Amino acid sequence: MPGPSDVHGTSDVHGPIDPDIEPAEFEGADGESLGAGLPTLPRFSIHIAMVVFAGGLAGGLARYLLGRAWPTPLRGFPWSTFAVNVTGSFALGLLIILVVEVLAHRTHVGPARYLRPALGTGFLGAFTTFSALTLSTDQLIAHGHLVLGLAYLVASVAAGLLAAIAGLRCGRLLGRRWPGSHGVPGSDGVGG
Amino acid sequence: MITALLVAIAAAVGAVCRYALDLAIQRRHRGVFPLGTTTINVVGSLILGIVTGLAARHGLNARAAVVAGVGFCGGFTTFSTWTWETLALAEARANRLALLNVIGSLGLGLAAAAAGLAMTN
Repeated sequence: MPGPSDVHGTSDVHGPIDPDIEPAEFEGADGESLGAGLPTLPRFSIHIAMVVFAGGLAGGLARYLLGRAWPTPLRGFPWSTFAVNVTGSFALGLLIILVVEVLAHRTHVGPARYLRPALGTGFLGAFTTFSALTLSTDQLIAHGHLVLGLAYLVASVAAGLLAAIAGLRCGRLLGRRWPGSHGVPGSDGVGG
Repeated sequence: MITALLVAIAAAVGAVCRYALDLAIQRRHRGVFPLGTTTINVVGSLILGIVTGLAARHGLNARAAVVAGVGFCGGFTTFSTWTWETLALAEARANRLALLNVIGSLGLGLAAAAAGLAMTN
C-alpha cells in the first residue's frame, strides 16, 4: 500500500534520513525508494517552512537570552552553549520518538503534522548550534588552551549523544504507557 | 532589545535555510548518510569563522556580528539533529557511518571555522 500509511509501518529504521523533516508528505507509488524500507523525502512545503521559521525564532531567541544571562568568561568553558546543546539533544530524541513512534497515527492530518518541523527543525534546530562549538574549540586551542578546547569538544559530543539516547529511551518508556499508542517498534534500542 | 529581536529573526531565517538546503541535498543523495546536516554544519562553521574574523580585525559592527554569528549561523547549524542522526545510524547498525558522521563533521567543522578565521587575517 503506497503512501503515508506504509511509511510508518517500516519506520523502525527511521533515522538516517534527516529526522527533522516532516514525515507526513511522502510521494506516492511512483516516488523513488531509498531502499531498506526508507521512505522518499517530502517536497519543500511553504507551510512547513513557516512553522520552521516560527520555531527558529523562539529557539534562536532562547539561545541568545541564555547566552546573555550566562556569559562565557574570556577563554573559559562555554557552559551556556554546552547546556543548550545537551538539553536540545535530549529534547529532540524525546520529541522524535513521541512524534514518529507514539503519535505516528495522528501525524498525517491536523496540527500534529507540524509538531516535528516546528519543535524539531525549527525550535531545537535553532536552539542548539554546531558552529559555536567548532569556533570556540578552535579559538581555545589557538590561544594555547589545548586541554580546555579538547575537553569542551569531547564533553559536548559525549554528553550530547548520551542525552539523545536518554531522550529516546524516555520517549519509548512514555510510549508504552501512552493511551491509544499503536505500539513502539524497535524498542530494543541503542546499546540494548 | 532590538539586538535580541534581530538575532531571533536571523536564527529563524537560518532555520528555514537549513530546512530547504537539507531537503535539497538529501533528495539528490542516495544512501543513508546525513550529508545535508554535514554540509550545513561545515558551511555554517566557515561563515561564523569569517564573521568572527571580520568583527575582530576589520571593524565589523558588533551588533551585525552578533546577528550574523549568534543569530544566522547559530540557527542555521544544528547540534541536536547531528547527535540524533548519529544515534539513528547506530540504531540501524550502520556503526561505521555513525563514527564517520562524528569524526567527519567535527574534523571538517573545526577546519572550516579555522579557515574562516584565517581568511580574514
